[in-house]
Amino acid sequence: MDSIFGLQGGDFVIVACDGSIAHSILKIKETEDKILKLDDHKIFGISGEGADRNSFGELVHKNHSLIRYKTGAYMNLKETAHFVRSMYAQAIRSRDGPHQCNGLLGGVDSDGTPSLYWLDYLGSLQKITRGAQGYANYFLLGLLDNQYKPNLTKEEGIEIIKKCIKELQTRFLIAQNKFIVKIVTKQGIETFTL
Amino acid sequence: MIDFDPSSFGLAHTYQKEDKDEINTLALPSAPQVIYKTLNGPTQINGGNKLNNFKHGTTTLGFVFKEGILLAVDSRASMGSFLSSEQVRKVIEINEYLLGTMAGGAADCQYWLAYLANHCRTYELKNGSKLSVAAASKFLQGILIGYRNSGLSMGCMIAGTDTTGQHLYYIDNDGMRLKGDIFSVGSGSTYAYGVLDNHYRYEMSLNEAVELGIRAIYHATHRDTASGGVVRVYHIHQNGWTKVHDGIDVVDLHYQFAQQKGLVGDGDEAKQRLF
Repeated sequence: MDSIFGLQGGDFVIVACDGSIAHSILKIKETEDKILKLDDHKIFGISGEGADRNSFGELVHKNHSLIRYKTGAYMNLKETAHFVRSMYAQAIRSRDGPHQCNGLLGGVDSDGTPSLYWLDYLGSLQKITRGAQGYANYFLLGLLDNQYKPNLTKEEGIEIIKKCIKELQTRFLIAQNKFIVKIVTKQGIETFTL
Repeated sequence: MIDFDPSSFGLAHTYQKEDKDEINTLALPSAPQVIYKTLNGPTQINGGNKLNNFKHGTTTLGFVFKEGILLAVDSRASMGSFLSSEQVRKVIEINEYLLGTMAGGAADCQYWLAYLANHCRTYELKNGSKLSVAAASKFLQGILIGYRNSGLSMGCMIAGTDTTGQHLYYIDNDGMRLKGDIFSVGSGSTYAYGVLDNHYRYEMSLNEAVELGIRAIYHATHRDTASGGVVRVYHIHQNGWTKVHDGIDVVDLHYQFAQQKGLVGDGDEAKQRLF
């Protein structure tokens, strides 16, 4: 039931998530941050039930850091996306089964190029300019396709995200009141709640 | 096929093959069925694997406020429609600075919280400093993720104090760990949330918080059949925890709160007259 959606602009990437955690009919928490900060220029929004989101997120974060410490190499976005995909792929026929979560990995490389990747629990990987995970797809893809244009500015990107949030609040059966939005630019990551 | 003597089972009519279609209503009581189910398979709260069909019959709540954390719990244990106890202690005293609440399987909660207590003490001895609430709850989460499909049933809150302040975490048998300001767990949690969400303010005084905790548990026990007994209240502050109330009977609370509204509390508020 999580909504994760994102947009890539000319020099930035935005990933937004809803803050709710629900258990059957109860909303236990409304302010849960589902977008993981892998490092100063990469964010990974994860959608999934229960512990999987949390545990896979931690797995990715720690392994990503481990590679950095072991090899001294700083992975760029493409390498990170492929690395995360391989973690998903390794798990699919394992004893515990696939990691039950999907994600949107976004970030800006050191030369300023932004990229956004769509990852799913079976190890699919696709570089995209706009997209969503979960039910948000049904409500937002049309709007994102309609509003997207190449080389968006940061302000235009935020406006589009606001429109997406408004759309979800209007049409999605599940009330999602608080959204956490993270923007990555060459300067770093900004977070705010909408 | 074993040949039974039908009269020994009180059958008025002998069951024979040709009589299959007109079986007497005084039928043979069926032999107790042994359920050969393994513990594998995901646990579900309602339905699911019959051996692990524990209902979280309880109401526990906790919230963070300016003076620390307040935990309030009920004390009823039920096995279906049988009340096995009205005096269960659902707040488990892990150590002098950590408390855990119990919901779901009592054995699971008691055992793993005791295991956690052991781990906390060992850490303290080895490292010379107390384990933080975040680390303690994370340790428990790790255990529960490992036992994810084994049928454990726990919906507990870990609340405690450490050098960074007072913190409240919710942990359940799926391995979910959430940090938050207000949680209520159990079958009566929805009723408690109604009262909690309405009156909660971070700036409450201790007395107001205790009153809120008691009221929320009372309302949950009033409407939820699986919650009841007495209310127990604990307060966590920077020096550890204090037991504020050891057991206030919810029945007494019912009449007390009714009196405050000028009512009698006999349930006849609608004044329905049939004749």
